[in-house]
Amino acid sequence: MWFSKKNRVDEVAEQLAHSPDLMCRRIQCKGKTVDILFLRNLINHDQLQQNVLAFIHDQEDVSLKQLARCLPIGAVHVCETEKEMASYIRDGWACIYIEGETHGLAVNIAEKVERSLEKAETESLVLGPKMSFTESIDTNIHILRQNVTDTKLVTEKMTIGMRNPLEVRVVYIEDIADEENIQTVKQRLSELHIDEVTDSSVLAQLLEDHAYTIFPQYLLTELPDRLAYSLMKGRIGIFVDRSPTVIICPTTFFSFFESTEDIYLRWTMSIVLRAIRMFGIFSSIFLSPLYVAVITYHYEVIPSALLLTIGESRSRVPFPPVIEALLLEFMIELLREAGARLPTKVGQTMSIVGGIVLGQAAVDAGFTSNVLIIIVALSALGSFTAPSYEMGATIRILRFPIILLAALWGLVGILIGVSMLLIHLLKLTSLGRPYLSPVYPFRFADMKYALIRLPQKFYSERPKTNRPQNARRFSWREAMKRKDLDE
Amino acid sequence: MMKTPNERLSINAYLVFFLIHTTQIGLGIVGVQRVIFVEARQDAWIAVLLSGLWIHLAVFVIYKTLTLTEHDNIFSLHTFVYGRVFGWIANALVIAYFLMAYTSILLGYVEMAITWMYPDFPLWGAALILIVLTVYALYGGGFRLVAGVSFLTFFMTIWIVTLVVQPLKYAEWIHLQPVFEATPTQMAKGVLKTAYTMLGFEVLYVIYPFVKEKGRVHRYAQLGVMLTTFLVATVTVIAIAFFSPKQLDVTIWASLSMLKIVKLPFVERFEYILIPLWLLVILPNLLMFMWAMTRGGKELFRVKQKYLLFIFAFLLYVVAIMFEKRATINEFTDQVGYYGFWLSFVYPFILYVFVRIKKWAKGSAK
Repeated sequence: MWFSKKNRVDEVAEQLAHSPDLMCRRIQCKGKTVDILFLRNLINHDQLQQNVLAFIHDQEDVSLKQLARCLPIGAVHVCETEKEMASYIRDGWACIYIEGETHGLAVNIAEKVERSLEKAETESLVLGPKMSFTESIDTNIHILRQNVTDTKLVTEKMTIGMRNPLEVRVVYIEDIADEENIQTVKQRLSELHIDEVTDSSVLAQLLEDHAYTIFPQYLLTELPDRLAYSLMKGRIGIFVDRSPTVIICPTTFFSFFESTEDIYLRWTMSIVLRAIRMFGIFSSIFLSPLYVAVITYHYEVIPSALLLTIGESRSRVPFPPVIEALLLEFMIELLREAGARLPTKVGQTMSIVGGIVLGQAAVDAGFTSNVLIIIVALSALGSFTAPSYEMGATIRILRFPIILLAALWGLVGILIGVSMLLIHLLKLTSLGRPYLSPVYPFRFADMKYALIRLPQKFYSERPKTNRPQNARRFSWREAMKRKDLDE
Repeated sequence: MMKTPNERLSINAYLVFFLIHTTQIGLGIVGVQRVIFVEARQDAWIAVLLSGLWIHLAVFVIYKTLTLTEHDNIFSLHTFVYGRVFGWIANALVIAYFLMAYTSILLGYVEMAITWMYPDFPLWGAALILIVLTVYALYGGGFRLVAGVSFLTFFMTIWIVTLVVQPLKYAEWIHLQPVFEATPTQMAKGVLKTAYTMLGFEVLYVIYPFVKEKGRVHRYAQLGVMLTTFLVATVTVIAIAFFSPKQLDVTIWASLSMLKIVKLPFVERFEYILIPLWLLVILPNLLMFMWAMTRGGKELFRVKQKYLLFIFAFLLYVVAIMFEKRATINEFTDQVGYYGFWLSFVYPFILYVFVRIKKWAKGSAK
């Protein structure tokens, strides 16, 4: 019964660390004193005036019961303690106390600051919806609900963070997503005892199976359509308040190379595009190490005509190939990093001009060979084709140890790197599910999702990798029905 | 008795195909042609096929032995048949064989790489790298990882077979004539010499309990063996046709020398690509034998497999760096082939009879 104690305004103010923004509007109405407490920068003042102040003023009977029943406001809550009251005020609600009542009433007139919906920036698409998630979880759930109207959509609410509580929503389709996966996610979230979580990417790191790896284990996306697609295929999404990216899990290695555009484009095109992307990523990891290995140890491998070209372009270079390669790779990484930190317009000009000018100057100065410039530029391009930013960064970093291995032991060194990578990927799991699925454990039917694309009628089953409870999307037999001539 | 591994650790039956096949294919296939050719001349390929047939039979017998009693792996079978003490000794011998097989593969590969590509590379360094790779894979990976590696490396390397099309262009089929000239003794020696290349199917004795669908193991094991026989026979036939008899008599790594002529617009001297790639071929071998010996060691010494992994790795390293010259490595490999021949080609039949007798004796005692 805190109201019976000393001054209630002081009590609440103490709870709110005597914020200078705390306002107490005291009005006299029908002979009763009504106090309205709120943080002035968190509320909508129009609502306060029209729906709260004006309403109370017009009431015949000013009592808590009457107000709770009749206030023209979506959400109201009867508060018992000052602590509860303060926490509502902190969220932007206003609290009403009527003299003589034992309880207070919290009403939601909060106004959240958020940016408007914008086009996706990190995962940009040519075809398909352009909208991206924002920092407000309410808006994000709103967007999701617009994208997925499935009646079985579940958006479970959890709170994490002991000092700075954060709303987290686990979303999935109840009768598609795997029960065990849902349990794992919820268990890991509830076992998280931490003071605060800054962003969904931090949460993803906290939920990971393996911390000591270079590979990301959860997909982070800002595209609502990507999330909707994943949910309908049996994955689970995790929304985090104040974060514009959503965690998708469980993930496999190959899902980092899938772009939603692959689905929007016709299958013939997306097969080719996916192959190009895979090839680009592969060469991004292995081209410069191959150059280093071959030039350092096995120049016999190169046909004589080609060897002549390479030899000529390397004739003025005073360094061993590994120094040359590392120097140039470092330069490209530097350009990329600088480009990412600078404002957009400056950044773009700088990368192009810097790339060309620096590269050309390096060749002229005899620091590097022309051939290597081509190789490094190609591998940089290749790494940017990864649709996931995290995976692109991983690939760029992965290149360096393999260059070193190549410098140490030549081609055998590269193959040692490949074996290590293979073993490492086989060991990895995401949410306890194998990372390399559907390649190992081999699931032939899922190849059409992970590696290639086929015409839509082949997608009658959801990918087995996600262990959907209900795998069937539509009737395969109906889709494959053949018609007679002239029918 | 060994406990049956739980569902999470066991593998699908089709993986037995890859496990058996990749364990069989290793270093042998790189240079098998000369070894058989010396014995059976142009009929060498018949020796390969004969030993292939024998292996099919051996696999059948192994499978039968494993299904005969409730003991579904060689270690508990040994204890069952020979009793505590002698069973222990028999198990130790099997583990010693795995140890030797591992060492010979390791040394063979290192030797090949050093001879062809890195004349100055120290043996101790190369051996260390390969052993560290094995330990890294098995530590925390276990049997599922062995299966995964053999599955993936199979697809990463099987395409090499298609390269034989190039030497095929220069094949002189007359070299294969006359057929059936070898005497039975020559042929028997040829079969014996093929053994080293075809070894590896005996791991079925160890992996059997780890397979989910027991009923389909046999089929996949036989298929794996069949593919191996086919590949070895193919490279043998092509080598005989490609090289002149005198040349083949002195070509140690016939498959490599044969593929030297492969030329692509941007790659020449293909053996420089193949030797590094061969790491992926021997990787499943290394993992398999290492895993098999730690698994056996677990039975033998009642020690956790992960500790044994480090102990065996250290042991193997010490053994490996003691070899210095090519001659000793060669002798050792011959020894492994000989030992392996008795263990895998002959012993399964004997063990089968013993298990039968023991079972019968037990049954009549009741």
